[in-house]
Amino acid sequence: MNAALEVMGLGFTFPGRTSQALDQINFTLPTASITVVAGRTGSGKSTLLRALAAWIPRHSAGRMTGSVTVGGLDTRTATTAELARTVGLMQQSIDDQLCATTVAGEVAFGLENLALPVDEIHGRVGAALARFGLAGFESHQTRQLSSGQRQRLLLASLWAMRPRVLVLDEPLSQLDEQGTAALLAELRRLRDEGITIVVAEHRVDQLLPIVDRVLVLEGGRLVGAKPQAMVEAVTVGSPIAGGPTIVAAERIAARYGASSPPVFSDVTLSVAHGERIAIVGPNGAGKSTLLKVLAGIMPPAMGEVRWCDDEAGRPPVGLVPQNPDLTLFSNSVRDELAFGPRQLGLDEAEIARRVATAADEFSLDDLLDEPPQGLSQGQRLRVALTAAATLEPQVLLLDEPTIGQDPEQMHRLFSALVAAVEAGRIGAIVFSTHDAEVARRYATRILPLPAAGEGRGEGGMKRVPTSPPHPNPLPQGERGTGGALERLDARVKIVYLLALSLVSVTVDSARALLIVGAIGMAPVFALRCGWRARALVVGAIAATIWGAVLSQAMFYSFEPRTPWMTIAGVTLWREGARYGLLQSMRLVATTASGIAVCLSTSPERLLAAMTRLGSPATLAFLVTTAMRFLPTMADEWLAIRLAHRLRGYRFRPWKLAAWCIEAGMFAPLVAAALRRATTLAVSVTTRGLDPRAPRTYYDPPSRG
Amino acid sequence: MQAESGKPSADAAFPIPRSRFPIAPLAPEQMATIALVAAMHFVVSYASVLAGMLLWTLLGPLAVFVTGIADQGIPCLLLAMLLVLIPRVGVAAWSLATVFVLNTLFGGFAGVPSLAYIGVSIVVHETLLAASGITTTSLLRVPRPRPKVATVLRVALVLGLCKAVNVFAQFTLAKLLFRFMFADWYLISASLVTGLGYGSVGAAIGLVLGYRLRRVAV
Repeated sequence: MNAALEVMGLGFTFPGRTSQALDQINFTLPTASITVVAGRTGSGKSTLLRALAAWIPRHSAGRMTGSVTVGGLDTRTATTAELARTVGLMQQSIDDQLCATTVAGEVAFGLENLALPVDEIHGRVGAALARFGLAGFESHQTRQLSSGQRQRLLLASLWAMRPRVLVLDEPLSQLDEQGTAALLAELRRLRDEGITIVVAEHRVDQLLPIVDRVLVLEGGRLVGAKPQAMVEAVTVGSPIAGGPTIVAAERIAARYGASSPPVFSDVTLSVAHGERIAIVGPNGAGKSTLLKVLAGIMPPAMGEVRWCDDEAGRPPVGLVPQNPDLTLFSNSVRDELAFGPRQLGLDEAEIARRVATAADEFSLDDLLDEPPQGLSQGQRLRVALTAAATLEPQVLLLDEPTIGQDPEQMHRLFSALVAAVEAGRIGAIVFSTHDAEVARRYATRILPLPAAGEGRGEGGMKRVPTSPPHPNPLPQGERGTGGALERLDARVKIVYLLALSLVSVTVDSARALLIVGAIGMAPVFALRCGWRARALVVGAIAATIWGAVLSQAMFYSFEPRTPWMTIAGVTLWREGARYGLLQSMRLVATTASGIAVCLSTSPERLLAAMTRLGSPATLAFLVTTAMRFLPTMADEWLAIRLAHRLRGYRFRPWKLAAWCIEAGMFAPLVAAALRRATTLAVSVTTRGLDPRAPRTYYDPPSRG
Repeated sequence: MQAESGKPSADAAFPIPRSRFPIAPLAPEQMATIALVAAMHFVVSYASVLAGMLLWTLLGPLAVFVTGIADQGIPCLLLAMLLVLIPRVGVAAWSLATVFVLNTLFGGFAGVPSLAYIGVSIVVHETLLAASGITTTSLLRVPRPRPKVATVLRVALVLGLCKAVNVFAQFTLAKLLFRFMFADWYLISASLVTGLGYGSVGAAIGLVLGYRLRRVAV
C-alpha cells in the first residue's frame, strides 16, 4: 500500500489547557482514497485536520507529540512551500478563507506564494477555473459568486497547487441536496485523479456512498473505524395543532431592491401556539429572507403579515441569526441573558427569574459568569438562543440553528426549546434548515420553500444580494468604463498624480496656480461616468474651495486687510477669502485628479500598479485582506444592530447607557472578525505564504 | 495590467523585477489582524472625510473640533486595541500605511502632501511608542484580564501625544506646502483638544477593549 498520510502517536494540547485535544492518534491512509473523520462537536476533528495540514505545530501555540507525515514529508520539518505543494486545507467557512478579491487572483494566490513563473501561473489559473466550471469568471469579484461557486473556487485554488492530499472540514454543512450531490461527484473525480481526501463531517451518512474509510473521534481519541449512531432517531415532544394563531402571512413575496427578482413569492403561512415549524428548501430558496419578513425586519414586497394580539403583552419575535456570535456583546452570560428582559423594562426580580429558568433549561448554569465570546462554538449558539428565549417571545425564529452542531448537541438544544414551548414561555418556534432529517425529527410541521426560477446560478445556488464589494460611495456601474482614461495604464496615472501634486506645491504665481488647477480638473472631463459620480467630484471640488476660502478669510494675517463679514464675533477678511480661493487650486488639482483616477480604475488594478511600482508586498497583502474584510464588516455591523433591535433595544441618545451599549456593539464585530482573521491566516499559510520566501506577482485580468 | 498573453505595454517604462520585496516577517495571523483593524480605521476615516467636507462648509476651520472625534479619537481606540493584540514595533506603521493606501485606492488621496503626512505620522507613532516602551517592553505582553490603571494612563498619554504631534504636523505641512495660514491659538488648541484630548480618551477605551478581546477572541 502506498501511504499518502501517516499519523503516529499524535497528541495535541492547547496552550493553557491540561486536557489533550488530540490523544494518541494513529492511522495510515492510502493514496487515492476518501476518508471521513466523524465525531461530536468538540471531539477534535478540526484540530486533527489542522494537524494534517501542518498548521499544527508550525503556527499554532500548544504542544504536539507524535508525528504526521504527508506525502513523505514530516510536517514538523518540511518547508511551507513543500507542504503547500503536498497538502491543501479547506476549512468550514469558505468566505473567510478567500484571500483575494477577484476569482483569478484567488487561484493565483497560492501559486504566487510558490514563486512560480508568471506564465505557469497563468496556465494553471486557466486550467483550474476550467476544471471547476468557473472559466469566464476570471475578473469577477469573489463576493459576486454564489456559495456553491465560492466553494468550487476554493477547491480550484487548492487543486491548482497540485496537492497529493486534500483536507476538507465540514464541506457539506451549508449545502443543499443538489449542492451535496455535486460536491460528492467532485470528490470522487479528485480521488480518481490520485488525490487522497480526508473529510471531517457530521453528515456522515451522505458521504458513505463514496468513502473508503471512516475514522471516529471521541474526546480527542480515535475510537473506531466505523461511524456510530450518536443519537437515536427521535421525535421530540408531541405534535400540537389547533392552538390559537399567533401570526399569519398571506401570499407574501420578498425582493432585495425594486429591480431584482423576487427571492420567493406567493408564500402563505400561519403560526399557531405550540407549533414548531421547519422551513426547508434548497440554498437560495429564501429561507432566511422569510424569517426576516416574519421578524418585521424586511417588509414584504407583496402580501401582508398580520400579528394577533397577545394578551400577555409579550414581544412578538425573537430571532437568532445564522451567525449567533454577532448577538453576543455582554461581559458575562448572565448579563447577556438579562439584556433583553431589561430592555423590555421588566423589574429585577422578573429578570432574575427569567435568567435562572432559561439558564437551567438550556444548561448554562455553570457558565453564567463566563464571557460569552470566550465560549466554544456550541456554547455560544446556546447562549444566543437562550438570550432570545428570555424575551419569552410569541414566536422564536431560528436561522439554520443546526450548522456546525453534532446530533447530540442539536438534540439537547431542541429538547430545551420544546420544553419552553410546552411550558408556554415561548409561543412557537419557526426554524430554517437545509437538513430534511432535522426537520423531520424536531418539527411539528414542515414548510417546503421551493426554489424560485429567477436569479439563480448553477447548482441551485442563488446570487444572494449582499452589500457592494467595497464601501465606495460610488455605486457599481458608476465607475467609468471604456474611455481613454479608463484604458490608460494605472501606473501612468499614479505617476501623473504624484507629479501634479509635486508641481502644485512648488508653484507660487497666481497664473501658475490657476493652470495647475485646470490641469488637475481636466481628467474629470475625460471621465465617462454616471451623474452621481460627477456630482461627487463637483461636490468635493466645491467643498475644497469653500473650506479654503472660509479658513483663510478667518486666519489671513497680511496687511492691508479689510473686513468682509463678522460671524459670531469672528471677523472674516476679504483679502483672505481671495487668497484662500487662489491657494485652494493646489488642493483642487490633487483632489479632482485623485477622484478621477479612482473613478477610472478599479481598486484591484490600482493596487496591482502600486505593487508593480515598488510598494512593499506586505502592504499589498494587508490592503487586499482589508478590502476582503470591508463588505463582511458592513454586513455584520447591520446584523449586530438588528440583533440589538430584536432584543428590545432602542437607541436613546440622551441616555449615557445607550452610548455604552453602542460602544459595546463594537466588541462582537471585532471578536467575530478576529476569528475570521485566524481562519484566513490558516488559509494563507497552508497555501504557502511564507514571510521570508520570495514571491511572484501575477496581475490577473481585472475590469475597469 | 497584463494582457491575456503578452506583457503590458507600459512594462517597458516601469522595469521592476517580478520576484522582489519578500513579505516582512510578520506572522500571517498578525497581518490578518492588522488588516482587519486597518479596514475599520479606513471606514471611520472615509466617513469622516465625507462628513468633514460638509462640516467644513458650515463651520469652517472649527469643524476639526467635531471631526476630530472620528479623525483622532477612534483611530487611537483602534490602534490601542491593535497594540494590545500585537504589541510589537512596526504594527502601527503597517496599520497606518494600509489605511493610507485604502484611502488612495478609494478616494484618490494620493500625492506628495499625503505621502509627507503619512511619513511623519508613521515616524512619530513608531518613535514615541518605542521610546515609551509600549512596543519595546513587555508592558502589554503580560497576560492579564484587565490592564493596570498606570498602563492605561501611559498608553493613553503616549497615543494622545502621537496624535497631538500629528495634528500639529498636519497643519504645519498645510502651511508649508499649501501656503495656508492658521493662527497659533488654533494650531495649539486643535492639537491639544483633538489630538491629546480625543486621542487619549480613545486610546484608553481601546486598551480596555483590547484586553477584553484578547481574553475572549484570541
